[in-house]
Amino acid sequence: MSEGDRSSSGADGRRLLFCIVKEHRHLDMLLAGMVEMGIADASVMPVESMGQILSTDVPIFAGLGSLFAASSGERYLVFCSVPSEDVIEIYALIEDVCGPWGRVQSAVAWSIDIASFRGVG
Amino acid sequence: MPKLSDALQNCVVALDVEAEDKPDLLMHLADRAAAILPWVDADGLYAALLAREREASTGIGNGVAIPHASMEGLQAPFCLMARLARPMDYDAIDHEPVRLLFLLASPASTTTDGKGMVSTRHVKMLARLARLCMRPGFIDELLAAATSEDVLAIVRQEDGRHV
Repeated sequence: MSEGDRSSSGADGRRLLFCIVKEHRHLDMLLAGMVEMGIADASVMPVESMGQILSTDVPIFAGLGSLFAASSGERYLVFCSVPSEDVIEIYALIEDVCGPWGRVQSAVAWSIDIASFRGVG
Repeated sequence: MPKLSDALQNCVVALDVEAEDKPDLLMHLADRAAAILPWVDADGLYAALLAREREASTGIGNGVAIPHASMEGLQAPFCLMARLARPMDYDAIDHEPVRLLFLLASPASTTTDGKGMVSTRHVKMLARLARLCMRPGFIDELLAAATSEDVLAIVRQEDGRHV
């Protein structure tokens, strides 16, 4: 194994965390909160929801955007590699920033084991 | 998750602060901090704050600025919260005048070659302050607070309320 190669099914103690945030001010607060937690890097992408695309691109769904959860407005995908033991705390941060899970305008988040990891993270 | 409690242990609140411009204000705040916390070097703090402002304004928008410094020689982090008597042009990111300032200063960390650098704790406290200031209603509450004690209580309450 080369230097910097950490391979195992999550046994190296890191997980890949994904979060979709639906308001820009929530994104700012979430990123600031991640800095508070010592997370120094994450990737952020503006994304479109399934409902946004269907209701604008597929004629049969035109005007039916409200059928899809939170299909309008801005949304961002934040993803980063984090220590496994931090995931629960990050979920708490996301809920604190974006509101209770289950609200349409709140965030969604999930994490998966990282099978292998190279580089600084 | 770190909270502001470290900095709030050494916290000064100044209401109705008068100043001509940004340098005058920063000097006033540095003097104020040194008058209450004797281990603070007012001249050194003023120079560090001014140097930071020259890199980029710490006016983060919504009438708030967070001038800050990471300095050698400080015994502990401290925070000075100031509410201005009149809104002041501060070159803020939203071009709006500033009414509230959170001056934050922390001991610098030392690199392996002996140089001072911004500590991780300082960065985390800046992030927390910035996040609290984004909370709806927080700034309005501080602007409406009647006394220094009320200001501090509002900040402590908000700090304690969030993850």
